[in-house]
Amino acid sequence: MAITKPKTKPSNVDNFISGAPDAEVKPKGVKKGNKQQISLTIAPTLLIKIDALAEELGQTRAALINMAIYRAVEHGLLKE
Amino acid sequence: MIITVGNTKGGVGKTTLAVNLAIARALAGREVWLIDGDRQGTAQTAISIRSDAGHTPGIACSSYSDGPTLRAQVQQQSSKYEDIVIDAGGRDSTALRAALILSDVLLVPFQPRSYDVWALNDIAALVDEARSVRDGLRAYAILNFADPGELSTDNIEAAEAVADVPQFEYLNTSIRRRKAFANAAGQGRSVLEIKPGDKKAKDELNALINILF
Repeated sequence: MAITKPKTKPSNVDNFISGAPDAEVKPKGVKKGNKQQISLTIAPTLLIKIDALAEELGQTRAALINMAIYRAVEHGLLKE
Repeated sequence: MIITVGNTKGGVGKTTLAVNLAIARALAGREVWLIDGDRQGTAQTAISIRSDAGHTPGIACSSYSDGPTLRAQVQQQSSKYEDIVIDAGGRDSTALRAALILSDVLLVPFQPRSYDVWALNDIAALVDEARSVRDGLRAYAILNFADPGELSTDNIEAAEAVADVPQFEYLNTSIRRRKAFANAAGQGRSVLEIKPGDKKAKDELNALINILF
């Protein structure tokens, strides 16, 4: 099929139902699989260090950033 | 017919009325589906007690506190039932809103008390919003837990206050505060089936049913 139909917008009814206070709050932005896409700006010097560490660990840059953020969120930002 | 017993305010006797209505329709031989749209799940519990005790007719009862799920299920299953009674609210919720989209009739019980009368405006605003996205929602307000006595000032004043909320038609068949309703609903039963019966309670419920269905 060569013609792709336009994406349907949520109907007024859907908007009315999801307007209730107990409705699930959906984060804005783009979802990729189970993850949410965000944009991040970073100091070039820090980025060089991240890339170097990622290479050393055999991880991607995104994986390393995710791990670092996870550690910060779960175990505190600063080393105890 | 799909009827929602709903109010954004809690404690107005929605579940008691919904359980009584659903059972009354089943006793009249109709295929009935009672939907509990309240997170507390009181209607569902009452119907489980009914079924554990083996009272007949059994009532099909489902619990959906999520509005989109409630809507999808009713759209799929509604053709199998003659009457669907939805108990929804206590607060503004997706389940209450979905019920407002699906229902032919909204029955809003309220007590003859100031707070209840004030709260009518909240549910009226939701009715307005629902009517802006759909046609044909009939909305009735009914005095529930009405005070005893034909000349009760509070009953009369509360009824008159409905005139200020034009979204609702006032039903002149009040349900009085009677132990029979609460006791019956607590056992998952209707006042029409309990023994010894309360004739006045039965008459009130029957009068309401005659108007609604």
